[in-house]
Formats: sequence, structure tokens, C-alpha cells
Amino acid sequence: MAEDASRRRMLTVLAGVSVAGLGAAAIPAARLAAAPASGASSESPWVPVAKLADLPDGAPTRVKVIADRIDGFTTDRQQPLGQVWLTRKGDQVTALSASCPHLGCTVDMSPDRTQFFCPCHASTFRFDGERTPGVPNKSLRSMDPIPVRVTQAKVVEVQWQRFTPGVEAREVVG
Amino acid sequence: MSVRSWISERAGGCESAPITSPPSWSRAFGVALLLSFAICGVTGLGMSFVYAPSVASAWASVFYAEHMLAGGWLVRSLHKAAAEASIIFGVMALLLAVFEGRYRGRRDLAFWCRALVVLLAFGFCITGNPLRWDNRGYYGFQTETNIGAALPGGKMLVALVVGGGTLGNWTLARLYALHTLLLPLVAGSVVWLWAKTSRRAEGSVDGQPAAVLDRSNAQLSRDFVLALIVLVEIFVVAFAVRAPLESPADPIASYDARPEWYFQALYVLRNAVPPKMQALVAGGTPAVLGAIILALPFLGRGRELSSRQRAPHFALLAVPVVAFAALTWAGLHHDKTDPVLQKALASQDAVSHRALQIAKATGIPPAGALAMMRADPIFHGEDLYREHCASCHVLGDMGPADGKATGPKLDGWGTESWAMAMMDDPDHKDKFGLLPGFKGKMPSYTHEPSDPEEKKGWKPMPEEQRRSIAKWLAREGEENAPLDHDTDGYKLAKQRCSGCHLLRGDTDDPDDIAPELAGWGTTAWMRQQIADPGTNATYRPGSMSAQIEGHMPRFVEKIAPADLDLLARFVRFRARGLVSK
Repeated sequence: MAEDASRRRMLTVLAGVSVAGLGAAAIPAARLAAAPASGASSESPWVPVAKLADLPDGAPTRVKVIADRIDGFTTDRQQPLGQVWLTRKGDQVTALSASCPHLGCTVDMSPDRTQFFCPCHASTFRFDGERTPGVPNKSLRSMDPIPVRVTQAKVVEVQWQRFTPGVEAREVVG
Repeated sequence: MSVRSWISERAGGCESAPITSPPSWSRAFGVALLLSFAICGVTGLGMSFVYAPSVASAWASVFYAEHMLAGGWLVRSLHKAAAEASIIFGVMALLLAVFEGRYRGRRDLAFWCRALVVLLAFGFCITGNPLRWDNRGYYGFQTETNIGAALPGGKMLVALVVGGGTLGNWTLARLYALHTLLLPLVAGSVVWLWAKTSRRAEGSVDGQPAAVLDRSNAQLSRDFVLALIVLVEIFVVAFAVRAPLESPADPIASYDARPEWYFQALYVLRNAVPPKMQALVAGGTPAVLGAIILALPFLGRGRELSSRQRAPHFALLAVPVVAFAALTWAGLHHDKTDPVLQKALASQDAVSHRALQIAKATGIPPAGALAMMRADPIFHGEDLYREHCASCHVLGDMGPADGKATGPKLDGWGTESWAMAMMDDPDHKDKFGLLPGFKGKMPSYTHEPSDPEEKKGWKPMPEEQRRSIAKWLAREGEENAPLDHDTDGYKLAKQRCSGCHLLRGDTDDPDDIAPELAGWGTTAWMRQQIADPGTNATYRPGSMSAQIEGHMPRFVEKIAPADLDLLARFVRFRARGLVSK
């Protein structure tokens, strides 16, 4: 009996040690698996996208935002990160993300060039980014403004940002 | 010694018990479901030996499996057909289980296991599709994760699966781990539990669950029929519908994303409701279905129910399934008859076709398939053309609407017929006709001038002379044409054209703006014209003056040198109809 009891104790200790060891290995493994999901995002840099003189007055122009693309374990120099619709009025420029706030498809110009148009779910937006009034729209919010500035050298720069699509509130991601 | 007793000797008890319940079609569909899973497993294992999960290598490795390895396409197609079969046969197995009453009493856990396997089949499809990293997989997954992130608690789960906020290398690494390790592990455990609970529910030896169940001949024949049907279905579909591999995923492409058929019903439902209810529909519909499946075994618990009494239970699951099937059909039919979508799909197909063409012709660089596409004059050249040139010049189906162009039409540029047309009517609307600064600058060689002074002594140029000059010009436009390729044509051009035009740097009128004719039609000429039209290498500095209304802008500071090369090659090729999409 005593032998049985000590044997049971040994087995319990063995099982306990094994579970503790497994846990000690599993916790950092789980942290490793979760790490990229919680990667802190630093503030995105200002990226030149156009010269002010090249933008027609009043008519939106779509430009690519080209900067270093850091993708997990690689850095790709000077890659297109996304597209932005720029509209110039005199010396003022406004920028809207060309990524649809509904589900992230690329927003185009409508064929008659009077408004923005997303081909995936036929959402339409005015040139100021607001959803076209009176037309059913799948998006819960207007197009997303992108921080934009004009430098002294009359170069238009933007700070590229992505937003969570499909929700009413405008939340920056990545 | 039979195999069974051989195993029994080594692996312990192998008592068998006859199945006491009557033969069942739902069991047979369960067999079909497991067979589909097994085919997915075998083909998936094969593919995992050639697949490389990173943004640069995913598409390339799938392309290699599909187009370079013998039988690779069949393995991919079988994998996809079997995955989709597991959804169809799984749903059928679930429906039949409810119809036959095999969800009640001791069979509840087996029923839930069955439902879990169907859910896992969806999980495999969601995590497997984006692995090939083409536009269809990429944008499909982006839409799925965007929908998921908008659900309560979805944001964190999506961030875990995606590996941050943007689809990329982490996403592929994680999807691969989920698709090939975690989900199979979970699926294996669920199937094991399913088998175990089936044994306890279906047969026992002296009150203990049997290690093996002896199926009756009637059951075996049903299993056999379904196994045969699912095998034939998978092979026929695999041969008829090849697994897709569209153009490499381009995060900034204008891609018209549409869901795979098994999400079509949710897509239709989601689109049918006001925006504020979309998340509710996308998350609520599967949640309601899940709740029904969870609740079914509890309905009328502890009582014997006749098949008539079970009918409402069956309807609870059958009505949504039939509605889903109808919505799927309606959605697919709508897409098929939507001309705008079909046009977008045709242009996406053309890009995919081009991607395969280049990959086969040049191979894929280590930088990846997207880098390969961006170095392609046809694909990226068209992109550049649409971005920089199409607001003024027509070329093929690109450019402003008829009569709205503010530059010459480029179709045929650099060819004999273009030169002939120019000498005949330079002010045609496709040439200088719509350019105020250039209209009237070049005289016609066939039409009498309207000015009385110019009319004096004017004679049309004989056709053979025009033809000779046009032929010489066209020859000039061939890459690497020798300097003395057509001395007669050259002499004639010198005599008739260099009064205004530059010809190898010489002209009688240094103040004119007429362009250099030597090398006209070559890539180098076009590149220079795009970079800076006013250098004497093409047009003259005077052509860029503010007085020349509607002159072409310089692009040297706007387009990178490598892109200038691509764009010039693209315009020359496309103008000659040399390379079609």
C-alpha cells in the first residue's frame, strides 16, 4: 500500500512537472503567435504625392502614395501604399482616401465624372467625400479624409492612414 | 491472420458490435463528408511541400505548382472541389440527421460534432483561399475580415488572424499555420470525438462501447453509393473547373471583389438591408443558425417523438438552408447578368492572363509576382498610360470620349499609314485638328491650301512620293534600323520635309517647331517625347512656349526613369497593335 501511495505521489509530481514545463514552453509560444497582432504602429511620415501646380483646380485627381512598405519581416523601399483623391481649390488641397469606407474597395470616378463611385457595392460620394444625398448608400460614413499639407516648395504631402471599413466611427488602423 | 486480428493483437481490444439502428442516409452522407476531408488532406499535404507562405513567394509557388509541375493543377483543383464538396455534403448530412431524428438523446454530441465539422469546412475555405495571394483571394479575404472586424469582439480576432492591421507577410504565415496545422488538429479531434460518440450511441458489447462497429450490409451499400457519388463529383468538378489563380494580389488594384459561392447568400442578404443593419445580418445570420443547431437536441428532450412530431424541428433547419440555396442562386444569377460586373471581370481576366503569360515567359523574380507585374510594359505600361496620358490621348479603348481628346490619337503612331494620313490631312480631328497651338502648322500634301498666296504654284505631292517618304519613316521607326536603310526615301524626305522638320539634326528653318523625323516611331523617340518634348530630339524648344496652346507637358520629373522606359515601350507596342492584352 505504502509503495502504491509513493508511486501515486511520484506520478502526480511527474505530471505536475510535465504540465509546468509544457506551460513554460507554451506561454512564450502563444505570446510569439500573438505578437504581430499587437504590433505598435508609429505615426506615419509625410509623403510627397504631387506638385501643387500639377493639380487642376476643382477636379479631383487620384495619386498613389509611394513610401517604404514595412510588411512583417520585410521592408520594401518606395512601394505604393494606397491611393488618395486630391482636390485643389486655389492654394488649398483636400485629400480623401480612395479606399471605400464601406468595405475597402478602391473608389473610382463615376463614368460621367460628376462624383466618386465604388464599383463593389455601387456607393457614390460627392467630391467633398460626403455620401451623395438622396441615393441609397452602403457605407455607414463619408469617405475618409487624409492629413494633407502643402510645403513651401508647393509640394503636396499626405500622411497615409488606413481606417476600419464597415463601421460608423472613423478608426485608424495599422 | 486477418488484418483486423493482427491489429487487435498489437493495439488491444477490438471487439465489434453490430449497429442496431436501421440503415441511415445521414450516416452515408457523413462518410461522404469525411471522404471529402480526406481528399483535402491528401492533396493539401502534397501542396504544402511546394507552397511558400510570404507575400513575395506565395503566388509564385502556387503558379509553379499549377503550371510547371506535372499534375499540379489537378491536385489544386481536387483540393478545391473536395473542400466545396465537404460543405455541400456536410450540410446535407446535417439536414438528413435531423430528418432521421439522429440528433436526439445520446446522439446529441455526435450531431454537434457533425455541425462543427461543417463549420470547420467553412474555416478551411476562409483560411485557404487567400493563401494563393492573387487578387481574388486577397480581396475576398479583405472583405471577410472587414466584415468580421465590424462585429462585436471581431476586431481582436481579426487582428490575431491577420497579424496586425494590414494584410501581408504575417497574414500569410498565420493563415498557413491555421490552415495546415491548427484547423486539421481541431478537425481531427472533432472527428475522433464524433467517431467515439457514434460508437457509444450505435452499438455496445456487454454495456461497454464497441471499439469497432459492424455496419449492416444495407448501411454499407448506402455508404458505398455516397462515397462513389462524392468521388465522382469531386473528380468531375476538378476536371471541369480549375482552381483559380488570378493576377498577383495588388493592394492598390481597382478590383471588383465578389464572394465565393458559399458566401453569396450572406452577401445578398447583407446588401438587401440598410447599412446600419449590415453587421447585424452578417453576424446575426450565422449566429441564429448556430443557435438552432445547438438547440435542436434540447427540443422535446426526454420524450419519444414520432417523425411527424419531429417535422417542425426539421423545418427549423431546412427552411434556412433552402432559403440560403435560393439566395445563392439569385446572387449568382444577378452577377452573371450584370453587364458592369461582367465588363470588370473581363478586364480582370485580361490582367490575370497577362500575369500568367509573363510568368511563363520570363519567370518570376525573387522580389515576387507583383514586382514582375510592375516591370511589365503591357500591364504597368497601361497603368501608367491611364494615369498620365489617357486624359489627352486616345489609344485603343483608353482615352477621352470622341471629340474630347486634346492630343493626337496614338493608334497607328509610327506606322506607314499614320505617316500617309498625316501628309494627307494633318488637321484631322485624330491628328492636330483639336490642338489650337498645332492646327494649321503643317500643310497638307494632297489638299490645296485655302490661302491665295500659298495656292500659287502649289501642286499635290504624287502618291508614290508620299508613299516612299511614309515607308522610309516607318522603317526609321523600327528599332535598330541601319542609318542607310533607304537612301532614296531619305533623300526624298530631306528634299520635301526638312524645310520645316529636323532630319538628323538638320533643318532649313531653325525657328519652326516641326519635330525630328529620324528615329520617329522608335521607343527612344517616344521616351524622349514623354520625358521632355522640347529638346530638338523630338519637338523643338519653341513647341513648349506658352504661345503654343495645348502643347504636351514634360513628364521627366513626374515619372520615374524605369517607368518612362515602360510607358514608351507600351505606347509604341500598343500603337502598332503588336501586343494585345
